[in-house]
Amino acid sequence: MTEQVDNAINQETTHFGYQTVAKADKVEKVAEVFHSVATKYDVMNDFMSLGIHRVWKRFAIDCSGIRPGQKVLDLAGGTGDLTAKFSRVVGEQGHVVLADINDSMLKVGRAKLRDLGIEGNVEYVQANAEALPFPDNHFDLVTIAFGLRNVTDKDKAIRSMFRVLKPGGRLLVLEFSKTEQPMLSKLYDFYSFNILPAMGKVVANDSESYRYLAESIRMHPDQETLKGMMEQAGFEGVEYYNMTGGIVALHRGYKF
Amino acid sequence: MPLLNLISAGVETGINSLQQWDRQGQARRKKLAGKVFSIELKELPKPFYFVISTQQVDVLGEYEGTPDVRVKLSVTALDELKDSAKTTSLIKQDKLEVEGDIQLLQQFAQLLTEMDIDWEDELSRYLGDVLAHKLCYGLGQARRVAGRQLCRIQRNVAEVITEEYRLAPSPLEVAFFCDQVTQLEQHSEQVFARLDKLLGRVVK
Ligand SMILES: C[S@@+](CC[C@H](N)C(=O)[O-])C[C@H]1O[C@@H](n2cnc3c(N)ncnc32)[C@H](O)[C@@H]1O
Repeated sequence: MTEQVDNAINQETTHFGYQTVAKADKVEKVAEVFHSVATKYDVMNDFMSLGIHRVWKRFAIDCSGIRPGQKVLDLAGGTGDLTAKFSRVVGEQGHVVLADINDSMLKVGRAKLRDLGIEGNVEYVQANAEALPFPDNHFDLVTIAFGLRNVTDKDKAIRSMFRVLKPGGRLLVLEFSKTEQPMLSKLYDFYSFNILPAMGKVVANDSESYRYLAESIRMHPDQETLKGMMEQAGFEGVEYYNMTGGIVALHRGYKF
Repeated sequence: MPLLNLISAGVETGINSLQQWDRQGQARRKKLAGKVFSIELKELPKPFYFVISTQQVDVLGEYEGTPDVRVKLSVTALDELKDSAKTTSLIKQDKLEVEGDIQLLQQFAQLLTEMDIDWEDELSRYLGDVLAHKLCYGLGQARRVAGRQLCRIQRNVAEVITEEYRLAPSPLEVAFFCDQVTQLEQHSEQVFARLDKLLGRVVK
């Protein structure tokens, strides 16, 4: 009997890139990755995406409906690219929470935003997306950019985001996705599994983290699956937009 | 869609680089902080929204709130916008449509066009004080000297070309050439007249 229970617990596993690991270990392993890349994160981001991540984020901001006075949660916000823009647009009357599970990323984010003169309306919170420490119906907008794929229980996280949104509020998920163009797909695979880890080695002396990045992208649910997951959690009017041939997709859903 | 994002990114980066160098930029932005301007260029399919904060100017491709000022104009009218005297005439000529506070719009136009940039100071960040000073002093000096030299050079070059290398004709030669052309013209007219007469005889 006890043995059976033990087995059941052992089966509580999940993906860490292509490896299968115990769920409890994934959190730790993801943390390791982001602790090790935190200080070089921005440089690597620009370098590896050839700066295109800025255009993806800009598109997300254009879909956000952000206005002065609003309350925003930038979840898995890392070094705060989105937070910076939100903070300026919502202004003194508004409020932005930059939440991340990883305190190294939060520290780098906080320092960077302070250098940009962003102060006053931003709060930094260490939090797990699966169990958000915020009241119900609180935010006008929740964004999670390149963060959801690192989360162990994605359904739980999406439900949690639904809970903290105000009725009428919206969720934006910006994440790597599946490209349907065979040529682009081949090129992209070659880039991710050969060039990317090599660049990670040269620039950040850390090829493992970047191999994880490539693998975690392949394991992430595709456009339609993620759309279904959002609907399952209660979101309505869910749509997605493919960018750069579907390498990245932006999903948007409303809580009514 | 991302093409417009690329344009807005370019515009935003450009504006803010200049804003950073502008000694009065921050004070001007502070006055306009929280204001949103919708600018639609007739040459582009959609408006861009300029959100002003003390930190910078953000450019958005979409805005679901109500902008403080809404403007529609053509690229060519952009520079004339800062001149309050011209605004009314632009509106009358249909080159400019404005909804909202025109004074705010003028402040915004001033923010973008009347910049007070100390180039020497800016360069010194990259080159060091001494070098930047030398460069700016040098450039200023060079401009003055160049102005003076330019006239001399023009004269000299003219002389060299005409007299030394005989590449171009001197004024006297040109005059002489013109005379010859006139003479030739007269001669050929006489020839044509005689030809006509001759031809007339033959036909008869
Ligand atoms: C690739 S970064 C993205 C950072 C930023 N949003 C951007 O777009 O540049 C992913 C971030 O997700 C955070 N993260 C991973 N798992 C998380 C979780 N369960 N809850 C909250 N944040 C998490 C990581 O610490 C990391 O900072």
